[in-house]
Amino acid sequence: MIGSLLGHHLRWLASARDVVATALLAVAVVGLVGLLALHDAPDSARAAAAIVWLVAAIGGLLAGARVIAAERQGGGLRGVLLAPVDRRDVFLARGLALGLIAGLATAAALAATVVFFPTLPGHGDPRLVAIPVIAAIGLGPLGALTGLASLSTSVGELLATGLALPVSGPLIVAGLHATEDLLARSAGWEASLTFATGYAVMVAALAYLVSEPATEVA
Amino acid sequence: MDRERWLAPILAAGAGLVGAAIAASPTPPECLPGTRVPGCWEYALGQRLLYVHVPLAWVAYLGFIGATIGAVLVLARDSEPAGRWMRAANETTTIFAASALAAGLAWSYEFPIYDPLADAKVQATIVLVAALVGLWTLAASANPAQRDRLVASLTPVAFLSVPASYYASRLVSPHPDFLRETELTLVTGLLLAAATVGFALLWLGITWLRQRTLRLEERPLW
Repeated sequence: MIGSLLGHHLRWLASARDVVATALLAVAVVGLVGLLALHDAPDSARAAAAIVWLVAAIGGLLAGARVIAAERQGGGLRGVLLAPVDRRDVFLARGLALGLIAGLATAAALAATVVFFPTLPGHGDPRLVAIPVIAAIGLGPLGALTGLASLSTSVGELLATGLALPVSGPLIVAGLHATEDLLARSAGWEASLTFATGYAVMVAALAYLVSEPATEVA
Repeated sequence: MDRERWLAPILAAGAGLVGAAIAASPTPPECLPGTRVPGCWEYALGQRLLYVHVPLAWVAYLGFIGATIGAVLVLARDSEPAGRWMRAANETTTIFAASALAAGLAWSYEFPIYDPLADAKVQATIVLVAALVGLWTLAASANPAQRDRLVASLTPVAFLSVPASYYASRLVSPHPDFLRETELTLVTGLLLAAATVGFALLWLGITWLRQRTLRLEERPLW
C-alpha cells in the first residue's frame, strides 16, 4: 500500500511542475547565493557545512510545506484522505517524498562544495554519504508532519516552518558540526554524527507514531 | 473542599520559598576570577541568580514533561481536561524557560569572560523556547474542534528539545556549573532545593489557573 501511495504522490509531484519547480528554484537560489558569498570565507569547512544544511533545511521543510499546501489546494490531498487507506501510510508517502527531496538537495549542495571549496581535504570521504541520508530521515518526516498539521490552522503553511525549524534545530546543528569535521578531516565527527543520526531517527519515529491525528485533521 | 481555595496558599508558599532562598543566599567558599564586581564573587548579584536560574530551568524541563504527559493522554483517550492541561502547561513552561534564559544572560553580564552565545546549552534552550512558542502559536491558530489532537500530535516531537538542551553541555560544549566545580554546602543545597520547590509550586499554581481560564473560555454561553 505504501508503495502505491508513494508512487501516486511522486506522480502528482511530477505533474505539479509549477509548484515543485518553484520550490526547488528557491532552494537552488539560496544555495547558490550562499556558495558565491562564502566561497572565500576564512573558515571554509564551516561555511561549506552551513550552506549544505541551509539547503537541507529549506529543501525538507520550507519546500515541503509549500508542496503539501499546493496538494491540498489542488484537491489531491482530499481525495487521498477520503480513500480507505491507513492515514499513517498517507503521511509516510509524503515523508518519504520530502525526504527524497531533502536528501537530493543536500547531496547536490555537498557536490557543489567540491567546486566552490576545492581546497577542503575531506572531499571524497565516503562517510559524507551519511549526511544526505540523515537529512532525508530527519527532515522529510518532520516536514510532512508539520506541513500536514499546519493546514488546519488559520495561518496555514506559514506555521509549518515555525514549528519544524525549532524541532529540527538540534539535528541541523549536529549535522552541521559533523559535516564540518568530515570536510576538514578533523576529530570529533563521530559524536556529532551519532547525535544527528539518533535525533533524526527519533524525530522520524515519533512523527510516524503521532501522524494519525495530524493527518486526520488535514 | 473546593480545590481552587488551595491556589492562593500554593502560590504564596511558592513565592515565599523563592524569595527566602534569594534573600538568604549564602556565599560560595571561594572567589571566582573574572567577575565584574571587584573583590569576591560573594558580593556579585550573579551568585544570587543561582537560586533563580537553576530552579527555573529544572521546572521548565519538568513542565515540558507535564505537557507531554497531557499530550499522550489526549492521543490515547481524547481527554478534554488533559488537552486544556497540555495547552496551559505549554504556555506556563514557555514563560519559565524564557525566564531561565533571561536569568542566565543576566548572570553572564556579571561574569564577562563567559560568552553565552557560544554555549551549546544556551543555543539548545533558545531552540526549546522557540519550539514552545511554535506549539503556542499552533494552539492559538488551530481550528478549535481539532486543536487538542493537533497540538498533542506535535508536543511529543517538540519534547525532543528537552534532552537536546539537557545533554548539550555534556556532548558539545561545557556549561558553567559551579555546583560541580565548588563543594555544595548543606545550606546552599537546601536553599536551592527550597527555591526549586517554590518555583515548581508557582508553575503548578499558574498552570492550574490557566487551564481553569481555558475551561471558562471554551464553555458554551448557553
